[in-house]
Amino acid sequence: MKQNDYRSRALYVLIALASISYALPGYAESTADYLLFPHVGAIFRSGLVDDSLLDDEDTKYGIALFGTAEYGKLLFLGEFLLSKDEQEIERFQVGWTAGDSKIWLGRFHNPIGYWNSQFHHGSYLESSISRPSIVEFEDDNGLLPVHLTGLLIEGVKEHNKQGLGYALAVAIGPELSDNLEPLDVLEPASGSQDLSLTLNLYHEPVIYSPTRYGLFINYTEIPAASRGFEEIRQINAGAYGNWEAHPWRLVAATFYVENRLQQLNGTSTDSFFSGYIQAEHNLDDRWTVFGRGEWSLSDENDRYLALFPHHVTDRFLGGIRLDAFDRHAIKLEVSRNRTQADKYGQIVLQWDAMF
Amino acid sequence: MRMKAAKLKVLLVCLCLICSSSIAQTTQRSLLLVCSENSTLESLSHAEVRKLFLGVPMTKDQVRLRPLLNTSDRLATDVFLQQIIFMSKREYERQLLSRVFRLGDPRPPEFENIDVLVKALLDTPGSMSFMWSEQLVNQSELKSLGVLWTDSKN
Repeated sequence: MKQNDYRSRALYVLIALASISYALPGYAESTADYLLFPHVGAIFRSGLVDDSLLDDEDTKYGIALFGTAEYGKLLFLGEFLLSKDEQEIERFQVGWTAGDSKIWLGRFHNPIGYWNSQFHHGSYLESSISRPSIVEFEDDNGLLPVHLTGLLIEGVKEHNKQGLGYALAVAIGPELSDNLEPLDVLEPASGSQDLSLTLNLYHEPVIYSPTRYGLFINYTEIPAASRGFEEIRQINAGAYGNWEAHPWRLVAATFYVENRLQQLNGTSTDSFFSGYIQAEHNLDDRWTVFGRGEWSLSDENDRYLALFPHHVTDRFLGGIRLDAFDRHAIKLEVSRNRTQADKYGQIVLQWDAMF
Repeated sequence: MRMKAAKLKVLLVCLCLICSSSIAQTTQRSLLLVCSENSTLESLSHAEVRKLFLGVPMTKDQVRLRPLLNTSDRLATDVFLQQIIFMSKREYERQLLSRVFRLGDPRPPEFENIDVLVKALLDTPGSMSFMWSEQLVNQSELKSLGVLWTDSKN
């Protein structure tokens, strides 16, 4: 019943968003854009331990519905994910354009690092199938606050044909129950989330071009009563870069993650490093090969990481992407993964599209 | 007699050069930034055109600018993307998608038919696009805001 209520509310929000998007283009100063990102994938794993919670074979499918509308300086943006495992409003933002900056209110992607601020739930835009595990979504054993709800100010300033960009978030982060649980915009009173602050600064050698380098820092207070903690105070900070020179692309980031776990009988602080580097090479207009390495350092005996036994701490993968027809992609990804509970191989075959 | 013949040859060569030069001028091809004749816009720098067509919201003289992507002529589109945007079609599309998905800025609409493009330019305040100079000659209701690129081979 609760699930049905949730779906009904989600449907109302979708209808409201669609109505706004549909109505606004009737005005001279308004425009709207819609995108659909369906995906269907098959997963094969080998080498799982006997009591692993993962299956040898699995499937995934879903569709991300995205819409944006603009009326003068006013902006609306919504993203809804319907998938095998979840139906959720991922982003719901109302914004205002002020010069080269945008001021948003609502639920948005936390601007930590590059991947999370660049890619969202439409995996067609990513060359790979998987996201780096350090920026994995909360539902998929993610360690960091990926979705925030509150205020986001972002923009880029031109200086000598270069871009100096920033994103500042003052928001509400997730609480920790089974997974990290960000605020549900349809049931805002259902959780006990707390403060999250993020600052991301970056440099574009040529303004509005894809190559960029940046630094970021996030502070989040994570209530975790159901896991035996009064609160977890997390700081994650790091550096990232995205370099593109056709036919090559390199994306890399490093994260330092420190967690202060507060219990009635005392407080302990643990920290670890994590990072990834992904290389992509366009063989021609249709074929792209890619590879990625992900590492964690000083993660042994980390008490925060121990709360996420299925989080992938190390991974090596390689893959190939075929852009077939118009806006359809077939991807194959082969990886070797290590979690605290498992060490296994994985092959994923996925179809992605955009309409 | 020989002198006269030599002078005649030089004269002929000069005439040929002048003629070929004038023919080259009439066939020289330029890619122009265009908008409605009624628009108050006067000009836009190449950097501003790049910014606009990359989907960055821009206002000039209190008019919100609307980029319209002309895909009716593949060569014109390719030249525009290579010389002004500095990206291939694939990179450009990826950049626009990334921007709309991240920031919500709508993508420039594409027009495969030049007549439909011209109508949109006339009907949409602040709109602009690009086309070859010889195409603009037939469009009395449009005006040029400047040369984006000239074919230097001619």
